[in-house]
Amino acid sequence: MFSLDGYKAVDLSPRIKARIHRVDGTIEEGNTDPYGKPWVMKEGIFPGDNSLFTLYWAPPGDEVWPQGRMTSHNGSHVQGGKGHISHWVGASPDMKGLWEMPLETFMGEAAVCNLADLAPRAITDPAEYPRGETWNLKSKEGEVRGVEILPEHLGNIQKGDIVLMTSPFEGLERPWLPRRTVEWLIDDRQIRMLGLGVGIEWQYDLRVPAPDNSPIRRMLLGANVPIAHPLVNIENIEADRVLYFGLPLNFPKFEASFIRAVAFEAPEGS
Amino acid sequence: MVSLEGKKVVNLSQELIAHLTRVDGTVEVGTTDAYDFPWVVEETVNSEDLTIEHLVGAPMGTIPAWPYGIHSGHMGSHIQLGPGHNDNWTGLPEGMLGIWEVPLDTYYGEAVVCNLDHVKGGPILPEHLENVREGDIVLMHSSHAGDDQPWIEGDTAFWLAEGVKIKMLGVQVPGISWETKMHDPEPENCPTHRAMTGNNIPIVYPLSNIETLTQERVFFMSIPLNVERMEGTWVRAIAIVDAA
Repeated sequence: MFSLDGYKAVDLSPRIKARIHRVDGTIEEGNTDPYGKPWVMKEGIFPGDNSLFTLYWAPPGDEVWPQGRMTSHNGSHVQGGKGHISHWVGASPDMKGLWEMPLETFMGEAAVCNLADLAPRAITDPAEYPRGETWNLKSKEGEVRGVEILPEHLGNIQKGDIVLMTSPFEGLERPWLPRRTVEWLIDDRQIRMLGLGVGIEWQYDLRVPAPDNSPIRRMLLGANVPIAHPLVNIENIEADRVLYFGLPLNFPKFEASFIRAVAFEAPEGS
Repeated sequence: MVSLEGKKVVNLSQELIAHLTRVDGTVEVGTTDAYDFPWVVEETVNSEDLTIEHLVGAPMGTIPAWPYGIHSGHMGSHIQLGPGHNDNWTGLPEGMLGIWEVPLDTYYGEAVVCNLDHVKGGPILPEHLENVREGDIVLMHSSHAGDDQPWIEGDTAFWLAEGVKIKMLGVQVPGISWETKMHDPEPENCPTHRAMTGNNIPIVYPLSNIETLTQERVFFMSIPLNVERMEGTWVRAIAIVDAA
């Protein structure tokens, strides 16, 4: 029988503390996910058995989330193409929804890529980094920016892997995923899924006219490689390879799904 | 490292097709779970990158099939423990743990499959569960529905929790009527809830497909979302079995 006895579980989903409106009117403050999104809930009582429940919803007047409803993109989540970017000009017509992919897409052997060695450095050409500070689309010569992630930095990825990638760097000093490396991940390594920590820059060119916008999201989801993010603790995995689980909820047509992502490290010597 | 080669993954979470309102206002009607709960979402465009995201729920009163509009963590297959859920009841012990407070390995491991077809319309007793061992995750199912479902007798729930010391209880619905005395006065009400949450044993339900598990012992996993104070969360429950 399959077993994870002896394996060390590493929690890759950030712990979110819900901001909660209790039935007695009190509010308990929460925190946010790595992107700054809160998780607001309203407590209620089920009259059938006097039990309590919590609604995923910020009641009117909530100071933190006045919009009321939150999306499927709060906290760690996994996203596929259908329903999410399938309306974009030039989007692949063969994109699948999460619910149309085999469960094995979201679980199995994963390569751990903690790119701590890719220290930022001063660029000499704006083309060396895909973003600029604040509203600037590009960086300038001499600014310290993250390094382009190349296949040679990802030598531990095997064909068919799930890939878990992060770095210890922040902001514009994060290493970034370029088109050519993603092409290699898709075509050469044929990766199954990509899990990203906050230490990787991959969301750029967001408002460039289609079909050149959001190239990394477009390429991965267009190839039916789902993206799980934001993940944490990848840097705390000691092994080069782990067993990963991060399954979407069984809600067909839900374009992205909350997940609990966990990596399992094999016991030494196994 | 263990491998999934030669193994089969069996989905045990109920399929709940979203009731979806598109950005153009069209509505695609979804399905409901075993308790007639839907999963209502509405498309919205993220102004930062023009992707579409789903808002969870709907404005109150806009969906006739779900006039409440919004959702708790109890839609579809979900997992629950005591704090924030039934720790307002009298007679439960101090120190119950929330689903965010118990170790992760509570939510996966060896599970025993209990087919209770032969207990049609009757109470599930310890003698029907002789294959259950200490530390097991227990997955119960039957092919019966309505009044023909076997039910978990309160004493059996306490025997499982405090006698056998199971790790988690998973229940197929319909198939098993897992709670009784819902309207009895406290502290006599809801003995299965009390037995399990009072002993920090998560309950995961409503599950499906347990009847397709032909091996008596399987690997089971259903890990809650990592949200502190959420007393019950949606889960994707799976079993991993030998393919042969």
